[in-house]
Amino acid sequence: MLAAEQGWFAPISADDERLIVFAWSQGIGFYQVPLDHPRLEPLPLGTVSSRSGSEPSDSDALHALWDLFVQGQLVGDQVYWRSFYTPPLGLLRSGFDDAQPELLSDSFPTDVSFSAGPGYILTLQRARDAGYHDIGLNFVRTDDSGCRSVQGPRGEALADVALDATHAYWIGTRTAGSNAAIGQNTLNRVDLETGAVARLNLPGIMPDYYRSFLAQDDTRLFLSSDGALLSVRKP
Amino acid sequence: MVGSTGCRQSLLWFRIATGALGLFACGGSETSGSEPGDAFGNGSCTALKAEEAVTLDAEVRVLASGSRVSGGAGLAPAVVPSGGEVYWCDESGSLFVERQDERVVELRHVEEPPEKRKSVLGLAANSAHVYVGYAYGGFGDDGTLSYRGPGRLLSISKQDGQATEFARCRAGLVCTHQRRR
Repeated sequence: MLAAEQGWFAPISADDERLIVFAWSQGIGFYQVPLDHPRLEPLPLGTVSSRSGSEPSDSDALHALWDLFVQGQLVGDQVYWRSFYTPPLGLLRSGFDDAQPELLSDSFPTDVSFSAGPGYILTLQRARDAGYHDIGLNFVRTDDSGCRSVQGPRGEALADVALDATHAYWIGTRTAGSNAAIGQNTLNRVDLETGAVARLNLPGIMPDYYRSFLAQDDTRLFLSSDGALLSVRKP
Repeated sequence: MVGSTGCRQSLLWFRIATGALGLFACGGSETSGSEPGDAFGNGSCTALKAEEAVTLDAEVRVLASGSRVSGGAGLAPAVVPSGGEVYWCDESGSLFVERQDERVVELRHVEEPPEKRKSVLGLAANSAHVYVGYAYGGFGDDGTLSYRGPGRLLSISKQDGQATEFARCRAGLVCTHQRRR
């Protein structure tokens, strides 16, 4: 999995006091680097020591940390992930400085992945007609008040999703069996409060141009494509 | 809006490290009345019925073309919006910014032959600086992520692109932190 005979640092977030990194060096895991006196300080989210500098003795802890780094989702200052290796097992949430992660669910199905939005978790659900034929996908939003489902893709595969406080944006890919040209991508969104669905038209951009979401802020989505970076203003 | 009793159905999601495609959603007409529970064990979920989808024009700008955006491993982002601006690196490791006036500026130029080129691990920004991590490796053909040192961590001024070496890991894992102008 990792061939790290030498160290590296991956920046995750920063403010004017500190930089948070995932480090693979004498220690492995999450560290803060105070900006006024740069040094690695372990964060409660997790670190393991590596005496030899290559493989720590606690491989479960290493796998858990690596999974957390690779699969974790950062929303604001909270990291969401699923723990398979070390207790507590299940869907977890934690800030970098929290002493213990919060267990959101200890029975989250193992075949279900998730995406974290601000204050909610989104999962996918097959949409079926009265004859139980698959007709597409629905998004299921779960928060402290319960769950609701809204319409997701129809007639296309799901390539990627980006979430904000009010909408789920998704990139759909037309494939064999759909009406439109194969390989064409679409950019869409659904209002998570009303269920209203909109297709976003990007004037001047080829429909197979965008592939995935890279980032967003309050007003824009940033999409990647083969050799390009797009900035799309949220309508 | 329709209510019904819940039943746990197969829920799948796609957010894997490689960003691979997930499920194919077949076309067809939908009927209401199926609102199973969620993955948290809630018995039934409120279903919001969609009206006909509308089409909206979205303002779009091409910030970069001709060189892929580099970086973005796990929790370490490849593109960082900060203070109304947005920062990213290209394949060479050079750092770019789109200013608030929509000018795209190369903040730090990197020119390395491909065989010596380091990967960008990720970016982070505060009010004054962008932090960029570099190392060798990245996603392999099998989708696994692997990095190796020696890694570097640069602090780069948002204003003028001046770079400070923030941390370096040398062979043998001698990691030091340096501040130099």
